[in-house]
This record gives sequence, structure tokens and C-alpha cells, in this order.
Amino acid sequence: MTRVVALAAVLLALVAPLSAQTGTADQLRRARELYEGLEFERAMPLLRQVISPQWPHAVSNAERVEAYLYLGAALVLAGRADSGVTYFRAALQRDPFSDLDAQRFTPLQLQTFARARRETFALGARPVAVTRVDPRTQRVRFTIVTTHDARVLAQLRRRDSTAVTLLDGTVSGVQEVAWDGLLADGHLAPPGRYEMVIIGRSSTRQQTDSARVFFGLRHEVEPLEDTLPAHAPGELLPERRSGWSAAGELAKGLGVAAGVLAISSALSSSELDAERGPAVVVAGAAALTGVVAMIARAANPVIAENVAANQRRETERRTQNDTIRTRNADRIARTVLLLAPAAGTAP
Amino acid sequence: MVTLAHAATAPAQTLTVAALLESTEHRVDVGFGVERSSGLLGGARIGATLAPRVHLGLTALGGRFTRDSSNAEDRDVAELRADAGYRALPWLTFLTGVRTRTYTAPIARQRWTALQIGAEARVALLDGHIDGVGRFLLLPLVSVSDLEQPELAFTAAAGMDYHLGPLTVGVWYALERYDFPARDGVTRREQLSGLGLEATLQVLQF
Repeated sequence: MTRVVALAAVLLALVAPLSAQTGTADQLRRARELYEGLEFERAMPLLRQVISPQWPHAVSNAERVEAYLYLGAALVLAGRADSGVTYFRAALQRDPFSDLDAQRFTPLQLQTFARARRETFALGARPVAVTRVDPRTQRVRFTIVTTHDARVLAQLRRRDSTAVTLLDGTVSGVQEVAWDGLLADGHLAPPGRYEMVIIGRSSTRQQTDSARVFFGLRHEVEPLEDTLPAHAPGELLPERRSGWSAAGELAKGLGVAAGVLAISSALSSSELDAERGPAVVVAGAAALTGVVAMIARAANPVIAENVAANQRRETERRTQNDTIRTRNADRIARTVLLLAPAAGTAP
Repeated sequence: MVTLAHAATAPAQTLTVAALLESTEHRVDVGFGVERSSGLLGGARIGATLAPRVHLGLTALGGRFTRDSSNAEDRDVAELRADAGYRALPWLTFLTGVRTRTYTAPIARQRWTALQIGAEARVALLDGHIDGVGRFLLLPLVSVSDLEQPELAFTAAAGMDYHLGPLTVGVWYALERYDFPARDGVTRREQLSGLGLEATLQVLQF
């Protein structure tokens, strides 16, 4: 039994908002049917109920604007054009994109609505739709509107106060504003949250108005390659010889000298003996060479071949990195912008 | 009588020519005391590196030994040598070759022919601008006019090579020794030793 009660409570909780929405929509639908049946006097009370603060159901801005428009249209047909203008203005103030379909409304209604436009100054911008734009060939398009002629400044702003002016001119009615995806410095706009602000001053009524829409911007770009890191010290060849290297040169010279003396003594026939003079000369030359080599090595321990090899490796690394950067730049140049609407009150 | 013939220092295919000068002392004992003679030998060598590890060479030497002891005699000397080497390691080259030498005295001529097998080792100083060189060759087959095959025959040498661009200057000490089997209680021994100079020029690289 407890389960049944709980289930019923859940169902009621789900149905209540639905019925609230349905209540306003039904009311508007009935009002439209009466209006189209030329029963204006019966339609108007229904419409007034929708815009009344006592109306118990939720009313969206679009529903409220529709109620204002039909009320204004009904009042015009009832011969109360001034009142009609009031409701038309109310609709325009809530939604500057409001308009009457010329196929469904009379010339008098259209004229009255045009008068409401002239007497009301409002401007608006359509929310940004989810959009995918290749900035090389396409443009991001924003739709703005003014109720009548106005001087309008449209700017894109970022959190860091970067601003791009998209429009600075006169606008009357609906107008598209195109953006090439670049910032003022010519670079592609970075990912982030943006705000498009439009500020307008009426050309006829000394009134100003502003509107703004928020959107998020993302980049769709092929994964970039990492550049090659700098060589770690252990990856490069040693460029200087150790202190033992000089001693090694001396040891080699003395080793050859010893070999010469060994040949002339140990390998020669003891019975024949051998003249020692030439061996001493060559051994002396070898030992002297070792000493000179040791001194030269100590004076210049730099390993020129290794220095050159390390420089070649570094040059190759830089060349490869330049190539990688070029490829990455190509990929970045093919970046696609992804726009999506965003909520908020600041960029 | 032994030259340090630059076994295979050149890494590419090369052609070299060289001039040689040897101050050689010859000693021989045939049972009547040591006969000593000496002289300068001059000659030339042409070498070719046919592959990165293989070289061939041909050397010709000639000169005259004059007697330094009363029991010796003056002789003309001529020698022709062909050798080949295989560089097994950067510092080690295996060598083989044949040599023929002729001593010509007023009353006789003697020909020596030998097969040589051995190795040469090099140590580089100052990044290869100088090489210390040692060489040992056995002569397992030696043919000497009117003499038996020696029981022991070898040559050994050590010295330095100084590389100056395409020119290499070498200085070395060499010893060549032959011990013959005893005959009638007498053992014949011969030995040549001396100092050699060689200037080698790389004339072609291809």
C-alpha cells in the first residue's frame, strides 16, 4: 500500500509541470482558434489571462510574446489601434525579433505593428547555434535586430578584455553580422568563452539599448606533434678528453720506443749481436713523439670530431623541429571552430 | 730490409707511391767469425688499397754492402717484394707476401726467396696524425742458394708514421734474422738490421 502511494506521488510530481505547460499552450491554442474564427472579444480575455500575474501556469517568453501579439492584433481589428500598439510594443520589448506574418494579418495590423516598431527601440541578438566553421572558407554568422534605424556597435569580447569589432554602422531590422574567426591582431581566436555585445542608439528616439549573447568556442585541430627535446648531456659525445688522455699519448710513444729496443736486443742473435745505434735513434724518435703528443694533447683537450658530430646532431634536431613546426602550423591553419551557446552574465 | 709498408691506413681505394732509404748492417757467421758489412739501400714501392680492408704492395730495393770487417766482402744487393694485407681490426692487419733478394759478389751470386706471414699493429697518437707501428713476420719457407732451409727466420720492425695530408713519412728500426741448422758442427747465422726512412704519397683516391 505504501508503495502504491509513493508511486502515485511520483507520478503526480511528473505530471504537474506538464499540465502547467499544457495549460498555457492550450489557452493560447484556444485563443488562436477564437481569433481565427473572428471571435476577437472571446479571444482577448483568454490572452489577457495568459499575461496576467494571476495566471497559475508557467508562461515562456515566446508564449507571452505570442499573447501580446494576438492581443494587439485583436485590438486593432476591434478598432482600438492605440491599445494594439501598446501590446505590440510590449511584444517587441520582450522579443525584438517579433513580427507579424503579412500573409495572416491585415494591412492595418501590419501598419499598426510598424508604428509600434517606430515608437519602440529595442535590439536583440539570436542565441548562437551549435556551429562548425572552417575559418578559411566560412564565416561565423550572428543575427541581430533593431526595431528601427539605429547606430549599432557589435563587438566580441573575451575574459581578457580582448575585443573584436564586428559592426559599427546603421542597422534597421534584422541583419547578419559575419566573423572570420580572427582577433584584431589577425590570429585565430583561441578557445574559450566569448560574449557578443551589441549596443545601439536609436536614430529617431534618443534611446539606447543593448543585448548580448554568450557562446563557447572550441578548436577542432589534428593532434600536434611534439618537437624533439634538447639532447641530454649523456646523449652527446664527450667534447673534451680526460686528463689521462695526455698520459696515454706519452705511453704510446714510450711503448713504441720500448718495442724498438726489445727488437734490437731480445730478438737479435746473441752470437751476432747488432748495432744499437739505429735502434736508439728510432726509440728516441718514438719517445720524443710521445712527449710532444702528450704536450699537444694537454694543451688542446678538445675533441674536434666530437664537437663537430654534436653540432651535426644539434643541427639535425633543429631541422627536424623546424619540419615538425611547419607541419603543426599547417594543422593549426586547418583549425575548425566549434561554437556552442553558453549561459552566463559575463564572458 | 723490412719496411713498414703502411698496411692499411687508408680507408678508401687508394694508390700510393713511396721512396725508401735504408741504412742496413749485415752480419753473418759461418764459423769463421762474424762478417760485417753495411750500406745504403734505396728503392720504391707502389701500393694499392683495393677494398677498405685489403691492400697490395710491390717494393723494389737496391744498393751495395761494403765490408766492415776484413773477412767480409763487398756485395750488390737487389730485392723485390710483393705483399698483401687484410685489416682485421682498425689497429691490426694480417700480412703475407713473398720476397726475393740477390747478393752479387765478384765471385758468386746468392738468391734468397721467402714466404712471409705475420701481423702489424698500430697505435694512433694525436687522433691518427701519428701512428706507432710494430710488425712481426715469420718466414716459414725460405730458399737460399746452396743452403738448407733455416730453422728460424723472421723479421721484426717498429717505428713511427707521421701523416701530413697525402704524405706519410715513416721512420723505423728493422731486424731480419736467420738461424740455419748446424752442419758439421757449425751453425750459420745471418742478420740484417738497420734504420729505414720512407716517404709515401697518396697519388690517387677513388
